[in-house]
Amino acid sequence: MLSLVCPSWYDSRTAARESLTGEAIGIARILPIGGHLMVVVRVDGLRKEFTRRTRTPGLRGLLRSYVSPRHETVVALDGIDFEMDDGESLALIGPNGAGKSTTIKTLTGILHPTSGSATVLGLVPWKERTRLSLNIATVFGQRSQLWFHLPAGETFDLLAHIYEIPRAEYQARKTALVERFELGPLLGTAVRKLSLGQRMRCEIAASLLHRPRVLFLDEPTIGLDVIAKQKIRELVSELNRNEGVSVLLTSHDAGDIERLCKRVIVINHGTIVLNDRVSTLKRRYLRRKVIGLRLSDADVTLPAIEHTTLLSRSRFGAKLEVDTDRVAVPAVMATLGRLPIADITIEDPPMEEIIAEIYAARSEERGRVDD
Amino acid sequence: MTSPDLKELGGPFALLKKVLVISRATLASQFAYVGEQVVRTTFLVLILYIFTQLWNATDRFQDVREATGFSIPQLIWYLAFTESIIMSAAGIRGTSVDHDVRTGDLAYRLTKPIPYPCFQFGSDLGTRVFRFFLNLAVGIGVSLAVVGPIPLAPLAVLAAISLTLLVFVVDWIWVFSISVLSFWIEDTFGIHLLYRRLLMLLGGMLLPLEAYPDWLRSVCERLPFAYMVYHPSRLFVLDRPDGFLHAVGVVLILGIVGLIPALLLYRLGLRQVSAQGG
Repeated sequence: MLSLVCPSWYDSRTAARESLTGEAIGIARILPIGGHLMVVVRVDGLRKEFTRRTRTPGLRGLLRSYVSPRHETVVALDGIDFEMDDGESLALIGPNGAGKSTTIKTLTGILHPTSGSATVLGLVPWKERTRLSLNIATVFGQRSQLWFHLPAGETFDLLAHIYEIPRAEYQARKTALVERFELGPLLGTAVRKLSLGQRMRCEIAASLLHRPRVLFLDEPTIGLDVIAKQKIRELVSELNRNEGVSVLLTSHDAGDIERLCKRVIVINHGTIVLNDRVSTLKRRYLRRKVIGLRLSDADVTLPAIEHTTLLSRSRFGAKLEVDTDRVAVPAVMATLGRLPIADITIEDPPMEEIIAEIYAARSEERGRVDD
Repeated sequence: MTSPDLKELGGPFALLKKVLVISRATLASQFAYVGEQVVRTTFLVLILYIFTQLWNATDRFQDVREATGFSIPQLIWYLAFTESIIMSAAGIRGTSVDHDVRTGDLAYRLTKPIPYPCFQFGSDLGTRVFRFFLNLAVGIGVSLAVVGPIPLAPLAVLAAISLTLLVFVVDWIWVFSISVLSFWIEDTFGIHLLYRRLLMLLGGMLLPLEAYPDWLRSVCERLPFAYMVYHPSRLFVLDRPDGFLHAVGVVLILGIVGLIPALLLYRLGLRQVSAQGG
């Protein structure tokens, strides 16, 4: 059985070309489980509106708001549609307020949508939330499920009871996760004494104890340093590959998406702007990296590097933009490595810029079609 | 189509076990700050000492036993028990439900295979039971030091403790009903404060109802608050468990009456969750 599900932006000519060249982005996917195509997440015309109270600033505005309160409707999701297959890793990216977290919160049953439908593992999340929660896991980068005053190991034991994991199965799973996530020395330490990176490793391991089928990660690397981010990405990627756990990830960080996901949905103002392979996104829109340098010596002369533009310069710092289509970042780093560097950062262009480029490319395409 | 290999939730016994395990974990986490918990009880030491002085002073002008039906040592032991009940609530709110709703921590709790009220109940009950027994231990110690022992009837003590544990369940239901209002209103602190103050004043925290003027006593006896504070504490200092079954019956009715708005408001409130953004 072959199912071809195309979002509106995906025109038939592109589909035909990509199918012929073997580039079809997984929009046509055949995953027979029990003879059925297994879509673990199905979202159809999902819309979520919030009503919030508004008032003009100052005391007068405050008093007026009591007499005649004013409300405004915010559209967080404006009828989005997408699907995610079993074992897939899908990224949901976009700027602040785009609707990423609202999507995750709706798919995990926390929020009730205003209209539209969605299923996760065949269950309607907001109607069968508790049943669904036994089969999925959610990690919010800015929240904690671990008990603050208890050692992480004790929260693991507690979660084993909450998720109704048989004792022997839990012990084996815990041992495997502790080893893989290198949690041995951390398990006996009160969570409040762990670093953010250590805590996040514990959070993700805790969420995997019950072998979830779908893992929702909402900004899992927010606030982490480069090493901790890399570790989390490796672990999640391995989990997706080895255990077949479907991963739906939201992030501001293009690095998370590049390393973790095969497909990406770019969302902005509650609508889907792009639904494509990560490789396509990289090829078309992530063609630049910004390298930030902090130098240990003042007034060092920076060497000229081909296809690299100096964006800004101060006595101890510099910002360079690398055209990654023409030169590889490691090659640039090799040249920069000869300088007296105190600190170095590599960043992707901000989401806002990527989205602006997507809009620009789409209106250009539309213009060509109209001509 | 539902996925064919979905894991299914256990029945009511599995749920009860989860609640107990959560209570045990909260209890364990309370031991992390046992020093701070003990410091908190200093207020109890102070108030028991002050009331001993006040009752002794009153006794010089009027026979306290004749006025209240209790001896001064019984009144101090009674106060130790009522204070243990009141002070065992975690702050004025007595729960972190409001906090969870306001901060969005509710989101995490909702994604667990246990209904949120059950999770919160287990957690709050663990805290409350720990604090109650710690306060009671300190209260008994201070009472012994300032007024000496009183004859305690084991059956009445058992009845008092059992009724108190039932009161904690019912009190939690009422507190939860107030807390879920935070789905609609900015801050429920004022309502919690009013509820706690009514429990203290009309529940007979400082004095047994026998010491109240007749008109106030008859009002208090018709209100639910006395069943949450006065009745269990009275049982504790009496030599027999008089009125235990009546009190249990009333407290159970209060629980059922409270459960209806609590669950109704909670179900309606869930539709109000507006966790926009991260």
